[in-house]
Amino acid sequence: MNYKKCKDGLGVGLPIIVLTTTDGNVKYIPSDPQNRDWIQYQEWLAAGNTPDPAD
Amino acid sequence: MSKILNVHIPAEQKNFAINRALDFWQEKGGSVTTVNTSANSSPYIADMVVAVSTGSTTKNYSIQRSTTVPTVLQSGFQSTYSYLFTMITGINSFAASDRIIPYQVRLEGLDYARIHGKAITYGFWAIASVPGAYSFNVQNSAETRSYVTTFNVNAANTYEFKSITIQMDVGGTWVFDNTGSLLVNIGSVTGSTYTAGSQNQWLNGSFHGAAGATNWTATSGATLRIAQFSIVEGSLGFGSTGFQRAGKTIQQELAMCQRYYETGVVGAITDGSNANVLLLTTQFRVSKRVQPTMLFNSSYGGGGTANQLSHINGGGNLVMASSSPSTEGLASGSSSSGSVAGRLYSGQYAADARL
Repeated sequence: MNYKKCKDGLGVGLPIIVLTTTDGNVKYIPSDPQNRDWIQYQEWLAAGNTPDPAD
Repeated sequence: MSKILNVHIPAEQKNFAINRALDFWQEKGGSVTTVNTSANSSPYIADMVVAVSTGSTTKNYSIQRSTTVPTVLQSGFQSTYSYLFTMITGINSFAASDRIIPYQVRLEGLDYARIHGKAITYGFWAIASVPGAYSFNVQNSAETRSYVTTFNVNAANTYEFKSITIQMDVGGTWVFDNTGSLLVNIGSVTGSTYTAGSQNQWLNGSFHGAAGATNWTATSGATLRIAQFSIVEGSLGFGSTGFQRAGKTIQQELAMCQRYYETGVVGAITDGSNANVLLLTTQFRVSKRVQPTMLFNSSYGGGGTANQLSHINGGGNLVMASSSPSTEGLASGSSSSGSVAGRLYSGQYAADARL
């Protein structure tokens, strides 16, 4: 499992996190505070982790 | 002479639990979900049904849909599927923080608000390979208020109808918005941390297991199937032969599921001047509970490549790089470098706004 920041096609940073799961799926997680994936990402951050930078 | 019964009968008997005929398995379909880990796990299996396990002990079990259902003569309702949980490797002793919740129902606060503080009857059909006393509990999603009781599986491998009436909580903190509010757990087996000190009353804290309940997960290969679950206002419930879906029609039932999760066809056009910019043209069938997490696949209906879309004229696939959903649909996104300008692609999206 790997979290990564995200940019759009014009190189603009987005408030979206890309999660690549162990089974090969890629999830685009919006910064909605009530999205359960975003909540899990916040918990992962709070545990001291840092996402990979955007390409 | 008339007699006044001590029962609460609402004006309309309605099932507040979505997809409890288990008609929809949008994400997993007929595939088997196998868990074999000591890490926390909470996959959705059927729409609106979750299996949960936490704690330090490795837990090895599987969940899948089953065609073993109560007969229409038994239940008065012809289901297609039941929910099958199989304990692959038995666990004789649970560590304090261990818990297995084979079947968890999650209810959004906007739905739960309609039954808060009322007498509610939970009904379901169960068939299990190990007879005994099984735990049943309801709690708030913050897991600060819990009510634990038991139901008996009287005979192995025989469908039995269970009905449990609970006066819902008026203490603690319950939410009534678009976030998760009510959890209903069936068949939980727990370590001491999650085992209730007393039953049939509301307690502060998070408890799923009843003291003295059967550890049916000690048996390798033990199975538990659940079918036709219902949450009905009042102290009567549907009874064994009165099950109804939450939706009046199958279309309504699917739309209720799609508030939380849907799949569909997505089309994308790469920009003429910057091929990495995508016009994604998708309006969700149903407005989502929240901005959904998005996933893509190059083939609609399975068999494609994750995170890619297919060129409609047989050219190379496009690799997705971002997607910006609203609760209503998609309008833009981006692809990885190397895309070709002005091409049309299609594929499948999944929008996940589950609780």
